[in-house]
Amino acid sequence: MSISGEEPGEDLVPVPKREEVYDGVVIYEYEDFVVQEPSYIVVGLPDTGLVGAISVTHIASELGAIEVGGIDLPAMMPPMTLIRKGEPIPPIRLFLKDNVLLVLSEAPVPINYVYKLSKAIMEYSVKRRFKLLVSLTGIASPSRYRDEKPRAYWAASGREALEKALSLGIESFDEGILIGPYAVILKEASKYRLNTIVLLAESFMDIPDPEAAATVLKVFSDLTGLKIDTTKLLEEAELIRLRMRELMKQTTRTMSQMGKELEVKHPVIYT
Amino acid sequence: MDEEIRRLINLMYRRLWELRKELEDVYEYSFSRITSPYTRGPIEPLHSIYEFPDEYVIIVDIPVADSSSITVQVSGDYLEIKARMIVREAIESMLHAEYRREEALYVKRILLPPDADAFSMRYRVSGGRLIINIPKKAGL
Repeated sequence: MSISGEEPGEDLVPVPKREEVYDGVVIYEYEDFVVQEPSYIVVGLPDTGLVGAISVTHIASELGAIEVGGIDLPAMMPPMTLIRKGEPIPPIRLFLKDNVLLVLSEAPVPINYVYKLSKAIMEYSVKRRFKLLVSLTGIASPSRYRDEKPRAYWAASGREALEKALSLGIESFDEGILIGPYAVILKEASKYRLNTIVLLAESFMDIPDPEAAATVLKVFSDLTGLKIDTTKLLEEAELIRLRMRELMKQTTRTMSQMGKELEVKHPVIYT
Repeated sequence: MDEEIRRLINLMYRRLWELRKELEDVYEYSFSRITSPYTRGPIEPLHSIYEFPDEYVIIVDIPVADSSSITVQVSGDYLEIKARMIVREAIESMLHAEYRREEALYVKRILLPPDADAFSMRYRVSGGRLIINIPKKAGL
């Protein structure tokens, strides 16, 4: 009998079947799996208003996705390990449902891993031949407190991604600065010949924002054709904010180290 | 000349306020590492401050707070906010569902900017967020 009262082998943390190392970032797969077509890899890292993390968690829950892998950042600072049922698990988890692989982080990405993780995700996406890499996130907006329904924007790289983005019927992120892993993915994607879209919703910077996540999910549904119902997300918004308070505090510290407050949506150069 | 001196004094006050806020943030960070989230007691809510040309807007996140219990008071250079939180969590068992009732207190102290006219503030609650509008003092 284990400490938790379970028999050994019951519901334990899965043992990696395959692992690949990309410049110090380790991607585990717990089982052989095939991602159906058209294949999407969807990234939701703790960031502005935790929009990405809340969105991807909700997609996993709504689709009933199963955990098929994880990503470890072995030399992350501060040194930390996530524990589940008494065993260490990678800080970033991979969930799969049909044609969607979800990348969900349970901790903010340390600044020393922003480039490495972004590039590892892109290399893995190329190797696995994903059709589109979708990043979900928030963009801090001082007018957010006035808006019941936040606005959404897109930024994209790659011909097919641009065509898809233009069909969404929302504004592009026409001018401004993005900071963090999504910025690296967007900037470097062309080098990997990868189609990528970043979907952003106006959100609070350092307060969890499930309403902004619901806005992003509506656009994500339009993009992929997957029906993601946000009713429960909006109904439980306050409890979600309560639960995610500690993650938001940690993320705010990381964003501050990253200079995230410089992220803006307006012209950078005035002429 | 007077205008220039007033501008420099304002800049000095502003910088002092920023330094004080930075020091308090460092203190809060260090303190929160010791006390949170493993100890019971008042919960410090998350907040954001936005500066507009004529006012400051402070958003304080107080999910599942009892809105009738919210108090916002000015105390010296600080805004003090208190609210009671009530969480009823459903615990489902095989035979029945029961509820656990937990109560906690939100407490927040926010250092006010030097040109904030806190006595003219107004506030409202929307979706578990306390939105406080504080006009700027005229002539500063």
